[in-house]
Parts: sequence; structure tokens; C-alpha cells
Amino acid sequence: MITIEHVSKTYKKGAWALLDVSVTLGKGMTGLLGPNGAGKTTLMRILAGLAAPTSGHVTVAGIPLTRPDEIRQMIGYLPQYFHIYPQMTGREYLDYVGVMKGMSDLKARRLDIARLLEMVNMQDKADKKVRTYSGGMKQRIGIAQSLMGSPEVLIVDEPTSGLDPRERVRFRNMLTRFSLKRTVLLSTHIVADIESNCRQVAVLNQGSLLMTGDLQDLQGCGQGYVWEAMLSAEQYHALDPSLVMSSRQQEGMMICRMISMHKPHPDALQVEPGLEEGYIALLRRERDE
Amino acid sequence: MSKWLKQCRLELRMILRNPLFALLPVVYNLIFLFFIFSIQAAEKPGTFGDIFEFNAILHTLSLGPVMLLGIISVRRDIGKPSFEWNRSLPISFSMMMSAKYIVGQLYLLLFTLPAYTIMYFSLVRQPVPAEAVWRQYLQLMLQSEISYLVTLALAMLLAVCIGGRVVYLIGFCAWMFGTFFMDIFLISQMGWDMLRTFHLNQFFLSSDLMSGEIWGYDLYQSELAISWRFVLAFTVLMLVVSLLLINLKRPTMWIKWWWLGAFMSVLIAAAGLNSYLSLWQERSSAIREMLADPTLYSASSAYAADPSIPEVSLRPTISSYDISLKRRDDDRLQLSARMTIPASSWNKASVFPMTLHRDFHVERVNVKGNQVEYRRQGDQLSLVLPRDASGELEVIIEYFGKPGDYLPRETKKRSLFSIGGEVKLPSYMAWYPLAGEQSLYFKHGHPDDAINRAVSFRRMLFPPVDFSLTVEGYPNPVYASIREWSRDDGIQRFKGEQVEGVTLLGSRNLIQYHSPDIPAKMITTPYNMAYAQTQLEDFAQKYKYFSSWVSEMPKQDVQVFYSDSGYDVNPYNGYMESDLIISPVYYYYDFDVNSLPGEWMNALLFGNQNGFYRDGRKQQEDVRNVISSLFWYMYYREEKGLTDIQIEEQYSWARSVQFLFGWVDQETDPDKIRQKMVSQVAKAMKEGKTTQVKALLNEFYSAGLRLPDKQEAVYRPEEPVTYTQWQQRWNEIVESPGGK
Repeated sequence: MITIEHVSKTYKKGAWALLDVSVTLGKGMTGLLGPNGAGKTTLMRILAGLAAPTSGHVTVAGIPLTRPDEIRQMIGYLPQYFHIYPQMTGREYLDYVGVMKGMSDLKARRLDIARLLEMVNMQDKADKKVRTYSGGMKQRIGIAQSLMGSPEVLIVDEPTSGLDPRERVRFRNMLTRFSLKRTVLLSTHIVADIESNCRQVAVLNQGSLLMTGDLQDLQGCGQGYVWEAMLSAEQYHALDPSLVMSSRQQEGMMICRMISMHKPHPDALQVEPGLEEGYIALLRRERDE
Repeated sequence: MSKWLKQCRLELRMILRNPLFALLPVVYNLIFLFFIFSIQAAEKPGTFGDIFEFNAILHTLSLGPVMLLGIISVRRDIGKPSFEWNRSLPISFSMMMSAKYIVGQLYLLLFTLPAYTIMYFSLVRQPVPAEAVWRQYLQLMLQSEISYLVTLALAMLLAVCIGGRVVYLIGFCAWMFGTFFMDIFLISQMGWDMLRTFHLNQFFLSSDLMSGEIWGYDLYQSELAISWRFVLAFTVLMLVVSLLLINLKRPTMWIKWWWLGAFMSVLIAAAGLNSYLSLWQERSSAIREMLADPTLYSASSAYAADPSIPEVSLRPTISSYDISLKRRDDDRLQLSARMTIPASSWNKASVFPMTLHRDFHVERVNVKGNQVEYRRQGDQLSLVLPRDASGELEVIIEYFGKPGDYLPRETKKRSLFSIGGEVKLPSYMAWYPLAGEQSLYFKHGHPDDAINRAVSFRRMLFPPVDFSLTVEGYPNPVYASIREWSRDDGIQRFKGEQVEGVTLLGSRNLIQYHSPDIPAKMITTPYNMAYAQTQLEDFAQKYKYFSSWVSEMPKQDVQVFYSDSGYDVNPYNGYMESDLIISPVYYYYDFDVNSLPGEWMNALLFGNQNGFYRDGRKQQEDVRNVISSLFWYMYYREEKGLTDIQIEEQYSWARSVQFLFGWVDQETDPDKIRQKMVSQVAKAMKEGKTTQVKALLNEFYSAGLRLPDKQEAVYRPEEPVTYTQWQQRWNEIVESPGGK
């Protein structure tokens, strides 16, 4: 479990990266959503013991951040930007991480590495030099390293960037399995990443926590703000493009889904929001307020 | 531990899989190998210095890769945001950094260890004594490793402090500034010697005091120890500060301890710096004291500081010395000098002026058994003579001290010292009381010019005197410019008759070698031993030749002190001091002329001949220099079997015969007397009158061919020989039918 209480973080220039964030993350996978610059990475780095909050209190599995060295014993972390030593093979790298995570038993470590390589579908490339890997392969090795030693808490920052759709699905399922008895925090700005796997979701914007809850709660944020209308081409062009969430052509007409506090078009009808629409509605509401 | 070893393996791999770092030690060692194999110690002196100099350049160049290695090793993972994953691992930065540092040091051994090992085996095969090579091996290894320790720490600190790629440029500047710039400009040209400790490897190219086999590391070992202690403390400081700065970027429970560690490191480094600065403070205050000393001469140059020649009535002299010198374990010298002052020398004066180096403190003075007062100012010592004294005075002066000066503007910095077995107590530094008030040093440079204002030692006057000296307490034998009569239980006794100055020299690296053929011994250093032996063989051949017909040639044990370092030959003293030929490795005679043993033989035959070039006087008025050259002409013709043309081609630049062939001077010798004289001899030899020529030369030799300069001539005058006198005796001895 991760407990975050009134955490704020300011950088040297005085800008607030996080402002009074409080949330409790239980077992299972939690999605941390937010636009670019919302403070997700800052929060992830604090939880991974890489940065100290300016104020507030955090505990990871009951251990306060004042004992970061102990926290590092029980977490797996995948940063947003991930690079490894190009001279090593994927297997050697995972072996290095395993030793650093305290896996001193060679046999157990080898078994774990083989399991993870299979999990991230890298077993056939494991003995090739990292310099020969594509961006997606490196990311998969990064994911594997974060899972080495089966950490109690897994913190992954935008892990699916660079993965192709098949790997992305594979990764989501892997995380879901992993999170059954553990705490996983997944940061992303892609709603689809959390839609199918996360029990909990938290939304950050401009350093502030906008909401926490389950997926229905986030979806509910769009209740009363999502509209659908069938429009001619002229009507479609006259529409404020910032309102449009999606549009598709059907029999010469455009079917548009829009997010607006008011009826955006006389022909528009209120519809049930999707998860992404709930998220966007939440951000827009915050902006408008 | 397994984490640390794993990290070490990773770091080693990162280094060795980098083509540049993999290749550099190979290139370094190949260059060193090439150099070492080009050395032939038996054919060329100064091997120790040559190795030192070459190593200084190569090692200084290797510090560039060290700087690069330190920066890359930190920037590779610790400095990059994309390597943040490793900061989330349950490992400490101290583990990572220590692995980087230790592996870096191990890698750097690939530069020095094979190179110096090759050096060791190559030199031992030359053969240079293994013990001496081993000493140099250890010195170079130790200094190299200390240098790598501090340079790598500096590079890592720079990489921690400076995030951008500009750190490479700054690292390059630090390398250049910390080596070449500091050496050439700040230390050598500006004279800021105290910056030596900040030099990254302390292998100086232009002003190195350690490049000599004697009076190098052994002499400066306490200073080096202080300097290296500070360097190591500063290295630790840089490492701790690096770790503190990295830990400040990532929360840790141990941050207070890191602050405490940094604070302690600052204290330790400050203490190290303080003891280093104290050393320089002492030296600086000694120099300031000398500059303020009104008894010191002010002169523009050493020549201008020549002592004036005193009037006959004012020449204080001492007729005999009996000196006892005991060295204590703390390097304090305890001396007792028993002297005889002839009545004519003090002439009922109330005060007898003397000179004794300022580092010696007088305990008591006895004149004819009675303790008397004395006054001391700088190097001057004035004895207050008893009113009722008369006749010859027996004076006993007991004194002690730790002699040692430091002259920043002089090449060798120290003109006298006695530290452990390293001894240099030159006569001109008045380590025993000299007659008369003579200024040992002179001041030069403008009084307001703090940098160029300097003190140098100057020439002294030495009346001939009988000398007896007992030395004890040194861990190794010392050598004097008078002959050694006995050596037992660490006590050495020396004696000399009618000698001028007495100098004491010693070093644990000095060895002596006796010629199997002639009564001569060579005092030299292990690296020069093989070369010196060949020179001594050459000398023996010359000695045998001249001793076969020069009837009054000195034939007592000849001592040659041959060293490639440490001894600034006083231009006035030349090669010969009393009974010792002091001969530093001198490029001109060692290599250009290739007649170093000829110079030794010349010194044995004629002394220093400081008046050889005659100061512009007409040749006709004095032909002693030409006569002494004719001795060598005889040698080359008779012993070597050379023709005039061959002599001219091979030896015309040797001082011994250059007047006869290579030196044409229309102003002083318009009548070409030199050529006439050599033609005379050549003709006589052709006519079978070699014996007569030798008889003539012997006659002039007995009369004196030392050619003293004005100062020497004060106490040991010599009459000139005019060309007319030469001609007259030539006619009588060589040309006359009944000649000898």
C-alpha cells in the first residue's frame, strides 16, 4: 500500500510540480493519468525514492520516505526514459539488476531472468547486445528489470510508449497478473492503458490531484457533458473543433461526439460518457472552473 | 560484497570494451618499450634522468585519458536521467562510485605496471644494479599511482558538478592547467614553487628536482611525504564531496553522515595543506630574512658579486683545521673546529672576522684555552680576541645546526643540506668557519620585485690550509674533496695538505669504484656506473701516458666524483676542488667532444686553469695556456698516433687543444704564436727530439701551469711565461746540440 498525504514539491525556480496531493493506493493496479507536465513523473520519482517532497508525508508499504534506502529494497521502477549499457546483452543486464536487487543465489536469479525474458517475449534476443535492440525491445527489457525480484511495489512511468499494439496488450496483461497481490502504479496519458486493467485511477493536472476512484468514477465525470449529433458537412465545419472528441462518416453525414457543458448544437443529444470522455471532461471542467 | 564485485565487473567491462580505452595502455606501453630499448646505459650517462624526463612527458600525457575516464564513468550512468533506474536499485552511490574508482585505478595500472616492469628488466640486463632500478621502479610507481588517484577523483568530481558536455572541455582545461601550464609558467617561470603539490603528477618537465639519482627523492622525501599526504587528503575530500553532491540528488538516510564526512575531509585536507604551507612559510621567512640582511652583497650577477681582493695586510688566514663532525639521528650536526691562526693573520687585532653559515649556532669559542666572546650577524662570526693574546692562536669553535637553505631562483634550489645520508656541504657555503668576513650569498633583482628578487650563493676566497676532518653518524659513506685516510665503525677520517676549500658530499645512492690499473677511484651512481667505468679506463690510459714522463704529476689517489645531478658546478671552482675532481654529466664534454676523461686528466695535471682564456691579454705576454695544450698535443701524436689534421678534426673543440687548432684570435694573437709553437713541437718530434720537448714541457710544468685567475692568485700566485722565455728555453733545451 502507498499512502500519500499532503505532498507538495517545488523546484528551485519556485514552480509547483505537486501541490497538496493526498491519495492512498491499495493492492492492485492504479492508473495515474494526467496530461504532459501534470506532475506524474515527479510523483513517481518521489515514490521511487529518487526525489524528496518539499512537504507532506509518504509511506510505501508502511515505510516512510525518510527511510528511502529501505523503500528501494521493495520497489521496481521503470522510468519514462530508459537507457541501458549498449555493450551488454539483455540477459547480462538483467543479471546485473538481479544482483543489485540482492538476488545472490545464481540459480534462482537465472530462473527469474528466464521467466521474465519469456514474459516480455525477449528470450530469443536475450543474448544479443543491447545496442542491436529496437526501442520497443529496450522498453521490454526495462519492464523486465523492473519486475526482477518480484518487488512488492511496482512503479512504471509511461511504460507502453514505444511498444507495438501486440506488445502493449501483452504488457497490460502481464501487469494485471503481477498486480494481483501487489501494488502497481502505472503512469500514463493514454487512457486505453488503464481502461482494461486498472482497479483504481487517479488524475493529476498541473500538480493537483483532480480525482481518485475507480474507473466508473472517472467515467462518471463525463456525465451530462458528452453529446452526440449527426451533422451535415457544413454544420460540422461550423462546429468549434475543440469540442469534438470523435467523429465518423456515415451515409454522407458526420456523427460527432462532443464534450461541452452546454448543448453544443441544436441537434445534439446527451449520451453516456466513455472513460476517455470522462477524463477529458474532468480536465476541461477543471480548466473552465 | 557481491553487489560491489558485480559493479566492478560492469565497470571493468565498460572500460575494456571501449576501443579507445582498450587501445591506450597498449600504445602507452609500446612507446615506453621503444624508449627503454633505445637506452644503452653503458654508452651514455644520465640514464636515470632520461627515463625520468621521458616518463614525465608520457605520464603527463596519460593524465588526459585519466580525466576522460573519470568523466565518462560518472556521466555514463550516474549523470543521465535515462539511467534513473539504477538509482531506484537498493544500492548506495558509495558502492557505485567506489567500484568506478577502484576499477579505474586498476585499469590505470595497465599503463604503468607493464611499462615500469619492462624498464626494470631491461635496465637490470644493461646492467644497472637491480637495487637501484628497483628503487626507481618503486618511486615511479608510487608517484604515478598517487597522481592517478588525485586525477581520477578530480575528473569524477567535475563530472558530478557539471552536468552538460562542457565538462569534457573543462576536464581538458584542468588537465592542461594542472600539468603543463602549472609546470612551465607558474612554477618554472614565475617561481611559485609552493604550487608543486597542486601539480597533477608532480613529474615536472622543466624544473624537476627528483630527476637525479642522488639528492632527489631521498633528499625531498619528507617534503614529498607532506605533499603526498595533502594530495591524498584532498583526493579523499574530492571523493567525499562527489558522493555528498550525488546523495543530495537522491534522498538517503545517511545524508547527515555524508555532511559529517565532508566536514571531516575538509578538516583533514586543511590540516594537510597547513603542514605543507608551514614548510613554505619557513622557507619564505628564511629568504625574507636574507633579503633584509645588510651584510649580504647586492649585485646584478654572480660575476659582479666576485669578492674583492683584499690588501695583503688585511688578509685573515687560518693555517690549519681539525674538524670533528657528528651527525645526530635528528639530522642535527654537532661540530667542533680546532683552528690555528697565524700571528701575521690577526696582527694584534681585537676582533678576528670569520664566516660561518647562518644555519649553524655557535655554542662556545675558546682561544688558547680561554672562552671568549663572539658576535654573530647573518653569516658573519666575529671573535673577540683576548687583549693579552700573542703569537699564533689556537681557536676552538663548537657549533651545531641543521644546515639547509632553499633558493627559489636557483636551479637546484638547495646549496647545502645534510638530511639522512644525503649530504652536500660545499666549501663555499662555509659549513666550517672560514677566515675573513665573506658574504656567502648575494642579493640580486630590484628590491620591489617580489618575484625576481632572489638570493644566490657567491664565490669565496680560500687560502690554502692543512685540513683534518673526522665524520661520524651518517648511514652511508660520505666523500670529501680531500683524501680519506681511514674508515671504521662508521667513522671516516680525511686529511689534506695545503688544500683550498673542503666539500662534503654523500648520498645513499653513491657507489665507488676503484680502477684496477691506476690509483684512482670513481664515485658515481648506479645508473652511470657502466659508463663511468669505460670513462675511467680511458682516463687510466691517459694517466699512464702522462705519468710516464710528467715528472711532478700528482700521483696520489685520484678521486673523481661523477654524477648526473644535483651538483651545480661553481663556474669558479671548475672541476677540481682540492683533491677531488667534481664532474657532473656535461653534455658538451660527454657527447660533443667525447673527451670527458681528457678533462679529468687536464684537471689532475693543471687544476682548474680558470685563467686559461686570459681575459684579452696578448698571447705574447703569456703562453702558459699554449704550453699546457702542448702536453695534449704530445698525447694525441704519441699515444693516439694522430696526425695534426686528425687532431683538428676530432678534438679541436676540446679545451685542451682548441688553442692550437680551433681558436684563431687576430686581436690577442696577431703573430699566430700558437700555431708557431705547435709547429715547433711537430718539427722537433719529426726530428726525433721528443725527449727534449718533454724535458722542456716538464720544466714549465714545474714552474706552474695552473693558470689561476685573479682571485685564486691571491693565495697561490703563478708567474706568466712570455713567448720570449719559451723561445729562449726552447733554443737552450731543444735546439741546442747539447740540449737535454
